[in-house]
Amino acid sequence: MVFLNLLLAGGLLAVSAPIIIHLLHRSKVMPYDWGAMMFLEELMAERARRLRMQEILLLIVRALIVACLAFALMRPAIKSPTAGVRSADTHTSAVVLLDDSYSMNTGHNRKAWQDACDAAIKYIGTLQSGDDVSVMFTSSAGKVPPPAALYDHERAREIIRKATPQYDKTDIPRALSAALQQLDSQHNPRRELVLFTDMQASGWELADGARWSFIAGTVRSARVRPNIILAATPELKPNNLALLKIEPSRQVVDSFTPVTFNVTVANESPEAMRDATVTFIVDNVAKATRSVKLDPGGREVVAFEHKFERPGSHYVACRARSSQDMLEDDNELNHSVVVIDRLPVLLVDGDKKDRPLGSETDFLRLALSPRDRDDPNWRTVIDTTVIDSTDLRYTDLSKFRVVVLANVAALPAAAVSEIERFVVAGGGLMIALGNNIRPDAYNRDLFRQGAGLLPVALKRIEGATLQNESSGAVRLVAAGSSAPKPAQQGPDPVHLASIVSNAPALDLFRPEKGQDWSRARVRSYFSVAAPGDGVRALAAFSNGDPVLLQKRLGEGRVLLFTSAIDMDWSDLPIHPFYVPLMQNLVFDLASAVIPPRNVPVGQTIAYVATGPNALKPHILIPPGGEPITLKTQRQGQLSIFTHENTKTPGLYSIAPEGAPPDERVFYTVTADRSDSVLDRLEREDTEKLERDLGAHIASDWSAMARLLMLDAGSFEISKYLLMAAIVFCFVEIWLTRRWA
Amino acid sequence: MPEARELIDDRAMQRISKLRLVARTVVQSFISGQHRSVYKGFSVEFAQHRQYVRGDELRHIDWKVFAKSDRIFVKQYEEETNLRATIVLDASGSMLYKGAGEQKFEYARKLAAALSYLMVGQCDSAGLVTFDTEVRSHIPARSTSGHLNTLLNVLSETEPRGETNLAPILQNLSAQLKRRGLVIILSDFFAPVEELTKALGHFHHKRHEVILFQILDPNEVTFPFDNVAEFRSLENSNIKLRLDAPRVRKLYLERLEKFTQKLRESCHRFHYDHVMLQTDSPYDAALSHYLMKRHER
Repeated sequence: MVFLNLLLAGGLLAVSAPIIIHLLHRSKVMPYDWGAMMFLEELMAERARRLRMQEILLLIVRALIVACLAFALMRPAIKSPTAGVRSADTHTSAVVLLDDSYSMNTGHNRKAWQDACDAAIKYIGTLQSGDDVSVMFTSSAGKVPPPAALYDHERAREIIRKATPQYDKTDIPRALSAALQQLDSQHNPRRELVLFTDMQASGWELADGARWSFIAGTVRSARVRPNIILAATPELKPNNLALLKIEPSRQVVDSFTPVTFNVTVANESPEAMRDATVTFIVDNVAKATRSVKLDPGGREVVAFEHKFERPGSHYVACRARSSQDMLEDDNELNHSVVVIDRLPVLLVDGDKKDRPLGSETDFLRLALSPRDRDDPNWRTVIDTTVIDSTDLRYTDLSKFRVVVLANVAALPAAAVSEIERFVVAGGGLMIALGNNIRPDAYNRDLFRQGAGLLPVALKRIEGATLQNESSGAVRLVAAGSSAPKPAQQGPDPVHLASIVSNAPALDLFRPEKGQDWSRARVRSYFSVAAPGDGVRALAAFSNGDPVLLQKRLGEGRVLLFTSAIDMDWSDLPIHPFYVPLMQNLVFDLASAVIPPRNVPVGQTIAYVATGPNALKPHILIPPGGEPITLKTQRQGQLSIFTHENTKTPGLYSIAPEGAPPDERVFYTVTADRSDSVLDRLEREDTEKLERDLGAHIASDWSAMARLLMLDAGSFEISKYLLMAAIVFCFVEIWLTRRWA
Repeated sequence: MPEARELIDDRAMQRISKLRLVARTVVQSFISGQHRSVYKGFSVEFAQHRQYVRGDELRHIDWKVFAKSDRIFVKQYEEETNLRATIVLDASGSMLYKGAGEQKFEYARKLAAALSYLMVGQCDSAGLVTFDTEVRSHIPARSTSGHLNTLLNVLSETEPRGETNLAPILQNLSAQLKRRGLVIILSDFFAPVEELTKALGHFHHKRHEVILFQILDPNEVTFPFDNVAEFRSLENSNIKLRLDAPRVRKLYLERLEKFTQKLRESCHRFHYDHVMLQTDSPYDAALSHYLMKRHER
């Protein structure tokens, strides 16, 4: 037996009222000294037992009256004796949980979503007056406060009619937990939870045993075990052509160089697609369309090259089409591109020399900003500025996107703080080591037990010690040099050997790309401590020691190169890959666009305005929607404009009110693509759900109707208790009169 | 030898005087206007001679017979009295009850005093027996004027207590009263009626005449209590009964009536008088019955 209003259990205390009254009455009995006890004793001898029995019986009847009333208020429910046939006597608390993932839009003419909504509305029609229903959606259940249970069933139907699929990442376990919690908070004796879904495997997270164990425990421990029905929409052909991602070939896009956009197209279906096309659009102008032939389950990367003419905010969009495609929601993908015409990089030289190529940053400056002897006007996007380390304190870092510390012995505290602020705000920092480095000072000022700029603590110079002992200075040994190797030079040089993490800047040096960087010899480098949390080793030497380590700090990144970037410790600068390696590393460090302009569904988009525009209102144009004036937050000279409602994927743009179109800043909101895989749950998965949750799978309405007859609920006996209380009242009156 | 009067203190004297006053007031108010029929004295009548034995008083020797027969005989006399009455007063705890009227024992005590006063005033012999579970005092019947003081003194000193053991007491008393006379029993008679009947039969066997004054409080007759009440026995403090008075009233009254009826039937069988007195009624009925009985003799 369960009690639907257990809070009213305190009413049972009222049972003590007749007993207390009885006891109080006893204490108020008038005493009489009496002579004629003989007759009373005779009476009592005959009647004492009967009187006591009558008194006890009356007391019991009175206590039963109160107990029945108290129990009735607690709404006790027992297992239904009628084996679950819905009847007017047993009310139902129902939760309609609608899977509103975008995969529910699957279908040509009739979408799965319509089937689910129709079935849900039909189900609500089976509820009776007095039954309550809560309408929940998988996209929001568990993330927003639970909805109110509705006794107005038409209102529930209206909510369903107005709903549309959402593009949040589907999380069925979270939604089910929230629905069960909602159901447990209701009061009717019979409980039903119906999930209307396309049974798409993605989002169920069945591999996460802990979460499903928790849900099964919730079902078992529910006050009234709910009847859980998984109402599956009709099975459709799971043919889906999906655009998964757009990746520019360069981290930083400039107006000098063409950039290639690699578009990944997937055929998430068991059939081959031969008529698929992908259209490439830049700033709302279709640039190219390619045909793609995709095998079942196959993926293809389609490359589109484009050179932007002017700096500023641009976007590229791709649209995929196929006659076999059943789901259109994942056929379009946008990507916001920030095109620049200048990338200012500050090179801080810690070993300035007068002779050519003698300074620490000379090779790096040449690599980042090469010159064309035939065309003096030719330049790359990278614009380098070289300063001595002593001039760092006088330099305004906000003018640069990337700062390179090259063999800088130590930094004053003020400079460290300035660089930290620069990185936290989104700047990029590369630290290259060398013989001037004082590990103690670096570890103390820059590493700071993992809280500072330096990704890892420095240990010692490897490979250079013997050279120093023999010559007193670091010797430059060029690759291919015929100079005999001194016997005292110590261990053999190491080589750049492997890329240990996925880093776009190093993609060029993967073995399949043909660039061989292993010929470079590194004679000396700093060994470092093991990386801590948040630090990635990107590449390693041939002996396994890390050569590149990256750390995120605030919105920016720090890259540590454990050797020197000039010729002192290695022959890297004389190798052809030195130029693209250094440029890519700088581009990678400068790639952070703050605030981000390519965001997932649900993430707030923000725009920071400066100068005269900061005072103007800004208008946001959502995909296919009405312009919205954004709310502003002023921070000094800046104005920050934000927009939180990014439920709809697509292209958003922000511009000052009245600004020309080319001043628009583009943002793209992209839905998680895991919903694009339309495969349904396997049989063993559904069997597991049936076994663990006691759930029933209904593949159509007739199965559902049959399942609704299964009673996992209970039978409320409140009204019978009220009737019993009335009967006991009459009995009490009758007994009192009779025995009086 | 000091006189009894000297042995009793002033308080006792006050009590006696008060009781005497009450008794006299009661009697005088009762007999005023009635024909005074006081029996004059008593005489000693010769019954027979018997041979003198050592120790006989010389004044009783019949010298005439001695002169005639030269044998010494003494004269024996048959005492002739007006009435020998023994008042038997129930001094058990149940007589302590006081409800709507006067306390039952107080009522009985005054009645006993009044009867004594009346008897002694009419030159009748009056005795007194007080009892509860046993006889507490037994004063043989005498008719001297000083005897009244003795009776009143005992009456004034007696306080009710303990349980009733009426039937055995009456049975023993009937054996102790050698000469037949009038036995006046003042009690509520709350005892098993069968045993009472048996005990009263002993008086009948001894040819005593008996008047039963059943003294009850009006509350005992009407049982007017409301609600649930706790009745505590006046005879035994351990006995308490809690009951719903209105619900048992009818049965109680039936029981009382049945008891009284049986007692009345027993009296009728032995030709005794049974007079029920309620403590809120005057003593007239009691005195009338006494005088009527006296007159019959």
